Amino acid sequence: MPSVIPFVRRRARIATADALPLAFSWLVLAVVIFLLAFVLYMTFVPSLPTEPGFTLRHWSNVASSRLLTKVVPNTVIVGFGTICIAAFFALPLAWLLNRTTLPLRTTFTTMIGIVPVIPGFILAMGWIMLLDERIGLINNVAANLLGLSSLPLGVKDTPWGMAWVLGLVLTPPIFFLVAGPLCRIDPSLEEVAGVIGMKQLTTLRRVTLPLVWPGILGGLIYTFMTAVSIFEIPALLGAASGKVPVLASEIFYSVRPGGPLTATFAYGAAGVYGTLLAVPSLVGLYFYLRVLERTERYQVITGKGYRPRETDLGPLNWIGIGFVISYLVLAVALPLLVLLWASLMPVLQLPSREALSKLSFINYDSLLEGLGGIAVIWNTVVLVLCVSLLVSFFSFMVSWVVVRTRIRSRKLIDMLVMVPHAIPSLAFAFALAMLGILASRWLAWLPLSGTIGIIVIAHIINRMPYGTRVMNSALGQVHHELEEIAQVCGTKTPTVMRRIILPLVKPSVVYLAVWTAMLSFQEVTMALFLSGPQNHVLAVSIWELWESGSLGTAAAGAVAMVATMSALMFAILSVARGPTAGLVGRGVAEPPVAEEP
Amino acid sequence: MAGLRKIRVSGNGAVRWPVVAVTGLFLLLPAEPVWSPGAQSALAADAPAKGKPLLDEVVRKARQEGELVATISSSWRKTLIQPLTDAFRKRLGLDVKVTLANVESSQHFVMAIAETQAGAPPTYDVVQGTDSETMQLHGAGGTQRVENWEALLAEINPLVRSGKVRLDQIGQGPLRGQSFMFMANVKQLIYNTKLISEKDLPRTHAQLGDPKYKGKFSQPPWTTHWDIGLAALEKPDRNEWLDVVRKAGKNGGAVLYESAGVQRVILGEFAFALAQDRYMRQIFAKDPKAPIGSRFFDDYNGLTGFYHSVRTRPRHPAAATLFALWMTTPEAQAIWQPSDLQAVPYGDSKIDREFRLNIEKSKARVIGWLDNDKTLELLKWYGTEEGRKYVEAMARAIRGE
Amino acid sequence: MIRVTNLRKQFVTKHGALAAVRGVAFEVKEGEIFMLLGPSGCGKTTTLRCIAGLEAPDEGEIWIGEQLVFADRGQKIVPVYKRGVGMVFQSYAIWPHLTVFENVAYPLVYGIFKAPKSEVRERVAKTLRLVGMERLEDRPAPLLSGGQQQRVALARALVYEPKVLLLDEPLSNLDAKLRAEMRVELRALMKRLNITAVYVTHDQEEALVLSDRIAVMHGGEIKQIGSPRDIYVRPENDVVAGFIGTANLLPASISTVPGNAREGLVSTPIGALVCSLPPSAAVGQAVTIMFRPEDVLVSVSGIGQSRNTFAGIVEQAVFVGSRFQCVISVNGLKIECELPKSQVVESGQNVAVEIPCHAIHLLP
Ligand SMILES: Nc1ncnc2c1ncn2[C@@H]1O[C@H](COP(=O)(O)OP(=O)(O)OP(=O)(O)O)[C@@H](O)[C@H]1O
Ligand SMILES: [Mg+2]
Repeated sequence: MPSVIPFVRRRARIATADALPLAFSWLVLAVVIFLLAFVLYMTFVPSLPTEPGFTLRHWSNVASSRLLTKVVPNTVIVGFGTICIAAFFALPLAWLLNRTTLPLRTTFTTMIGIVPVIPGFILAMGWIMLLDERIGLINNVAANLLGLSSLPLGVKDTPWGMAWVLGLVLTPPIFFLVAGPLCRIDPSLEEVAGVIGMKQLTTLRRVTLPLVWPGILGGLIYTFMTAVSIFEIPALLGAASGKVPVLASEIFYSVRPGGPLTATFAYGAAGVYGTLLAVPSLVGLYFYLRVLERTERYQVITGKGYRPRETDLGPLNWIGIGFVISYLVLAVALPLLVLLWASLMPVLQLPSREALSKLSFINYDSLLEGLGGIAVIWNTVVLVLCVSLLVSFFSFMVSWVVVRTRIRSRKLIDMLVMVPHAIPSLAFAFALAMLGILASRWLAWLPLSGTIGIIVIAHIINRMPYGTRVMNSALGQVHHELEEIAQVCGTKTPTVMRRIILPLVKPSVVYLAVWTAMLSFQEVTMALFLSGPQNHVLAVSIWELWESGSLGTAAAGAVAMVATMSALMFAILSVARGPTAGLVGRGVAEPPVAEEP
Repeated sequence: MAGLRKIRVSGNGAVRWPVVAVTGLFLLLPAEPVWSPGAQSALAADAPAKGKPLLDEVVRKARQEGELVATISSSWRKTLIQPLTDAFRKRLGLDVKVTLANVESSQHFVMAIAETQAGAPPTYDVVQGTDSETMQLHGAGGTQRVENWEALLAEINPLVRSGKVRLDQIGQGPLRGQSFMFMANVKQLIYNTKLISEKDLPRTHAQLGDPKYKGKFSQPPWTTHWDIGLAALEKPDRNEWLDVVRKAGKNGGAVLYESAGVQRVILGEFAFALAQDRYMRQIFAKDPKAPIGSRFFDDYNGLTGFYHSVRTRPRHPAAATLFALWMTTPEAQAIWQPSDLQAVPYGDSKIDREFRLNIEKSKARVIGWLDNDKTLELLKWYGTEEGRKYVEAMARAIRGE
Repeated sequence: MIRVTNLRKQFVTKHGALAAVRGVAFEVKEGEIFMLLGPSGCGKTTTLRCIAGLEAPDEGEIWIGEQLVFADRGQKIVPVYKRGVGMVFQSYAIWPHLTVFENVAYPLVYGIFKAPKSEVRERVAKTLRLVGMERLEDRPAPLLSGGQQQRVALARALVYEPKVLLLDEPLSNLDAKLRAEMRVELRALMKRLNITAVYVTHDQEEALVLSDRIAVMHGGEIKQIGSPRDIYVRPENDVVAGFIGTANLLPASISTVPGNAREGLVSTPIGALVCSLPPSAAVGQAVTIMFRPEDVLVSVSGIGQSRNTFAGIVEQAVFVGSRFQCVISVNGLKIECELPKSQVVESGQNVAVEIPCHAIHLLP
C-alpha cells in the first residue's frame, strides 16, 4: 500500500542548527577513528606495538585453505541460522507484545530483557544438559519413548546447534530494535489499510512490516555481526575443538597462535579478521542505508493525531500467549532453571534422585564478599550507569546527524560508527589497554589505565553501533515537521531536541538505555582485559569464579545478578509505564469519539 | 564481539613455549648471574645473622612508600584479600595501604611487558604468574632482582630460617633471586568413575590416540601438556611427536578449558579430561561423594610453579619486595590454601604432604621447565623461530588439524 | 510586509537537479491575505518554506517586515527561530506528547517568544478562545478531531502574535463541509487580527473565498498575480484560465480586424466567432479563446439569428443540485456549459449554443 504513505520531503536545514549534534558526533567518532587506526596499525606489528618491527604475517596467515572450506561456510551457517531463528521469534514477539492486547505484556517484556544477563557459559551448558546425545535430558527421554538408544538431535559439533542457541540469545536485540518503531506506527496508516479491506494479516505484511523494515533490517545486520563474533557459546559447543571452526574461534586462536596460554601475542591478527569481517558488514550496512534513505517515506509519527491501536486477538490470544511462553521457556526459563540448579548443587550434576539429596545453599555463603563486596558493586553501578547514559546520549546525537540533517558526511558518519561492531572486542580492548599504557607514560595526568573510565570508553565504542541502530530507526519515524514547527516557534535545536524529539522517542531511548545497561553489565572480555587494581566489575568476578572451577558459586552470583537486574528492569519499565513506556497517548486508555467542532 | 572471552583456567600449570622466546633473550643477557647450586647453601647459612637489620631497613622504606599494589591469582576468592592484607601488615608492622587485585596473569603479563617496553610505570608493584610467564617477563626486563634476598627470605620465612626449606626450592634456575615460588600444580587425568575404571585409562600420552578413547575425553587448547613431553622422552623425534599429538587431537571429544572440561566429565558427557590436580580437591571439598577420580600418566606429568616477582621501576619497591617474600611463608599459605587448594611443593600442610605423597606413591614422573639443563635447553629451542612454528603446529594438532 | 524577489531553489536528487522554484517574486502588504495557488508540485510549499527559513534558497532576497532575512545566496541569513513568523503545516504538526494547552503554550515557555510565567496561562486561554477551543485545554493532542487539531495548530501559530502567518494548505485534511465553514471563519479571524498571511493552497475555491490577492503558480513560476476577481474574470494566460474555474479553451486565429470597431472576427474549429479584440490584434495572429461554462447560453428552440450561435448535440448532462453541467458537442468539439436547473436537457438532444461576445476572452 505504498500510496497511503505520504511522500515526505527531505528537509534543508541551516547548518548552524546542526553544530551541536555534529560536534558530539565527531567527538565520539574521533575516538572511534583513533582506535580503529590503532587496531589497523597493530595488524602490521609483529607482536606488541611497543616493540619495533613491521610484518605482513598477520595478513598472510589469514589465507589458509581451511578458512574457505570450513570456517567461512560454518560462519555463514551460524550467522544466517541465527538470524532466521532470532527473527522467527523476535518479529512475532515484538508485534504481540506491543500491538495487541495480550495480558502480562510488561512481565513478558521484562523477561525478554533478562536474556542477556544470563551468562553464556550457563546457556551452552544448559543446552548440552538438554540435548547432548549422550547425557541430554530431552534426548534421553525422547529416545526412551521411541525405544531408540539415542537421538541424532544435538547442539554440539554442528553449526546448526550453535545457530539455535545463538538465535535464542540474540532474539532480544531484534525484539527491542523493532519494538520502538512498532509502538509508534501511526495506526491511521494501518486503519487506512483496514478500510481498504485488507485482512489483519495482510495489513501486517503490507503496512506494518514495511514501516518497521528499516528497524528490522538494521537489527538483522547487527545480529548477524554479533552472531559471528560471539565466541564462548560456539566454543563450548564445539568450535574450540576444531570440529566446527567459526570465525570467532579462528580469531581467538590466531591472537595466541601457540594456544591461549602462550606468550606470543599476535593481537594484530584480531584486527585482520576484524577488517575482513567489517567488509561484508559494511556491504550489508550500505544496503541498510539505502533502505534508510527511504525512511522518510516512513516517518510515522506525524503531527496528525493518532491513537496507538491494539489489536484484540480474541480467541487467538491463546496462540499468542503460547508463542510468547514457548520462547520464554526456551530462552529464559530453561537457562534460568539450569542456572538455579547449578547454584544449588555443590558440583554440577544432571538431575537425579541422588543429586536432589545434595541440594544446598552452600554456594550462596558469603556470596557478596566472594564477588568482591561493595567496591565491585559500586564499580559495576558506575560502569553500567555511565555507559547506558552516554551511549543513549551519543547515539541520539549521531543519529540526529544521520537521520535528521542533510549534512553531506552523514552517511560516512553512520558507516564509521558501525565499524567497531565488526572489530573483535578483544582487539579493541587490547588497543585501548596499549593506549592506556602509552598514556600513563606520556600523559601521566590522564587517568586512563586501570580506571573505570577506560572500560566505560571501551563499552561506549562497542555499544554505539547498536545504539545508533535503535536511535536511527526511532528518529527516522518522527515527522520532520514536528521539529520544524518548533523552530518556527522560536526555539533552537537543543530545546527542540529536549522538549520535542526526545519525549517523542522516549520509548526507544528507555529501551536503549536499559538494554545497553544489561549488556555492559554482562560484558566480560573487555572489562577483564582492561581491569586494573581498582576497577573490577561484577561480571569479571563471576567470570573468574567460573573459570577457576567454582561453577556453583559463579552460578549463585549469576542468580543474584539476574534477580537484581530483573527487579531493576521491572521497576524501570513499570515506572516508564509498560512495554510501550512513554508511548505517546498511551496514557489515556479510552480515546473519546472525536467530535467535530 | 560480545564473546571473545578467554576461558582460561586460572593458574593453569602451563609452560608456554613463548616463555621460551623470553628465555632466549634472557640467555643473551651477559649480566645475568649464573645459577650454581653449590654457592647457595653457604649463603643461606650466614643469612640470619645480618637478616634483621636488613629487613628493618626494607620495612622502614616500605612505610615511607605508604602503599602496595599487587596481583593475586584470578582464581583466588576475593574473600582472601582482607585476611591476606591484614596478616601481611601485621607481620611486618606496616601501616600502609594495600591493594590486592585478582588478575588473569596470562593477560596481564602482555600488558606488563608492554609497560616495560614503553617505559611506563608498572600498574602493579609485584605480580604473580607461572614459571613460563615469569621467565618471559624477566626476559623482557620486566622484573627486578631483590637485593640480599637470601638474608631477607630467611628473616621472613621461618621454614627457610630453620633450614627445612632450601633456597633453591623457592627460587630456581634463572629465576633465582628474581622470583619466588609460592605454589604449584601438576597436570593429570581426571575421570568419571561411573564411565570408566582406572585401569581402562590411558597410561601414556601417546595412548590418547587409541581409537577406544574416541570422543571420550577433553583436553585444553594449550600445548603445555605436550610440549614438555619432548624433554621427558628419551630420544625425541619431533615429527613423530607431532603425529602423536595430532592423533590424540583427532581422537578427542572436545578441546575445552580445564574447568569446563572437568565440569563436563562430572556431567558424564566425557569420560576423562586432562586437568590440574586442584580441580579434584575442589570437587571433593564441595561434594565428597562426587563420582570422580584422578590418575597420573606413566610417561610424564607437567608441573607448573607460580612465582611472585617485583616489577622493574615499581612505585613501591620495598613494599613489593616484602610482599613477594612474605607470600612464601606458611602464614600466608594458611590463609589462601584452604580455599584455593593448590599445593606448595615445599610446604608442610596436609595438602602439601598429600601432594608429595601422591606423586611418590604413583612413581609418576613429574617434570617442570626449570628442572634441569634438558628442559631449559628445550625451552630455549621453543624460543627460536623453528620452535615457535613447532608449537603453533602443535596447537593446531590439538584441534585435530 | 513580505517581499520576495527572484527566488530560486533547486533540489539535487539522485535523478538530477529539479528546479522547484524558478524566479518567484511578489510583495504582500500589511494585513493582506496573499494566496499561493497552483497545481500539485508547482513549488508552493517550497516557496513558503523558504520564507519561513526551513529551506535555504539558491538565490533571491526575502524581506519580512523591515528585516532582510535572506540575501546573497545565503551569505546573509536569519535562522528560522529568529524570523518570528507563525506557521501552520498541512499535517498540523501537533506535538502528540503534549496536551492542547502545552502545545499552544510551548512558544511562550521556551525560545525567543518567552513570556513571563504569569502571562502564559492567560495568553494561551485567550488564543484558544479565539479559535474556539477553550474547553479542551487539557485534552492530549492525539485525541483531537481533525478540525480541532487544525484550530490548535492555528492557536499555536497565533499565540506569540507574529507579524506574519504562513499557512500551508491548512484545510486540506478536513471534509468538504467543515472546510467551507472554516474558510469563512479563518478569513474573519485573520482580518480581525489584521494579520499578514501567505496562504498556500491548490483549492481554487478556497483561494477565491479567502484571499485578498492570489498568485497563480505553475512549474515553479508565478503566472499571474491579482485579485480573485481579476484572476477569474481576466486570466492572463491559458494556464491561469485553465486552473481557475472551468474554462473552455479553443485555439483560434484572427481573421478580421475591423477598422475602428473593437469587435472583430476570429476563426475557431467550431466556426467564426465575433468578439472584442485588443488594439494590437493583427490578422492571422494565433490566439486562444476562453469562455466560462456559465456564460454559455443554450436553447432548445433551434438556431435563431443571434451572433455566435451554433448547432450542437448534448452529449452528457449531469444534475449537480443547483444546476446542470453539460457537455455539448459542437462541430465535433466538446464544449462545457452550465444550465439553470429549470432548463431540462437530455443527452442526444439537439440544441443551439450561443457564446455571448462579451464572455469571450482572447489569450495570447
Ligand atoms: N526535498 C526535496 N528534494 C527533492 N525534491 C523536492 C524536495 N522538496 C520538494 N521537491 C520537489 O519540488 C517540487 C515542488 O514541491 P512543493 O512541495 O513545493 O510543491 P507544492 O506546490 O507544495 O505541491 P503540493 O500542492 O502537492 O503540496 C516538487 O516537484 C517536489 O517533488
Ligand atoms: Mg505543498
